[in-house]
Amino acid sequence: MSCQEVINKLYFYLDGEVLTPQERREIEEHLDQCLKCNKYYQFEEKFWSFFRTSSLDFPLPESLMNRVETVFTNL
Amino acid sequence: MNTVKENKKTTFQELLMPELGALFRTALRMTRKREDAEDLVQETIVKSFAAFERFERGTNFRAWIFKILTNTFINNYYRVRERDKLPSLDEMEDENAFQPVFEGITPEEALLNTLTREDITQAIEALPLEFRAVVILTLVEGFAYKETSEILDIPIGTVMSRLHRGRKLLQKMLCEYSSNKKTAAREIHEECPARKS
Ligand SMILES: [Zn+2]
Repeated sequence: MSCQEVINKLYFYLDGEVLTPQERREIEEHLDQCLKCNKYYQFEEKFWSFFRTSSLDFPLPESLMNRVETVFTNL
Repeated sequence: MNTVKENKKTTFQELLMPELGALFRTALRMTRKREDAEDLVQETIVKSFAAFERFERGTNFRAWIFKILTNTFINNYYRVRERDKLPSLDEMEDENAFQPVFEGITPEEALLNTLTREDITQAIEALPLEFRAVVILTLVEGFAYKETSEILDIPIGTVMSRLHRGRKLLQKMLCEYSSNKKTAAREIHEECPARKS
């Protein structure tokens, strides 16, 4: 698999989507051998896991909990 | 006391409560206002309880209620004027979809270190709705492409293209935020490709 192909499919690889097991293996083999793609992969992987963690870290406001309680009482 | 109704309520509540946090953070990213987000969640709860008979037990409750949330948002909260101040889809089409935004940057670690949770929130909220919805559902809430396509009633190919562009757009914005910060290393400012375009 060429560098361009790996880069084109990298998000599918990260998301665990679309690709066949064969394609995933080919990407892994490429990443093992190609420093440039590997660096890019490492960055994307870190970037999107940071993105997700930052977005999930979110406390529920008290005001919403009170509202939900009222809604349930009235359902 | 009507036991059938009470049972329905208990079952509904048991399914709903674990999703409340996810529903609220999604509502907040969609509406961008806390008061609206709380209204939206409340409306979603009332609507989904009313439609609960139509929910097939054993199927994906999370996807089902997210669909009600996003539909309610699009119908009641999303105003046409929001479109006006945001870049159009056509403008984004010009972008080379497969050009890695960060290619060639050496201080990637420095970039990530300068970004905060607030930056991430700001960037998500700045995305046009088409991209924002897909990004939130897949990248934050972890829905599969297929689930996202069902929630938003769009083809899976559209999910993939919007997700790709949404990602590139987010990286561009976050790259800008980072380079605008005093604390950011000067080399990011020099090398950030988003500055050049
Ligand atoms: Zn390569």
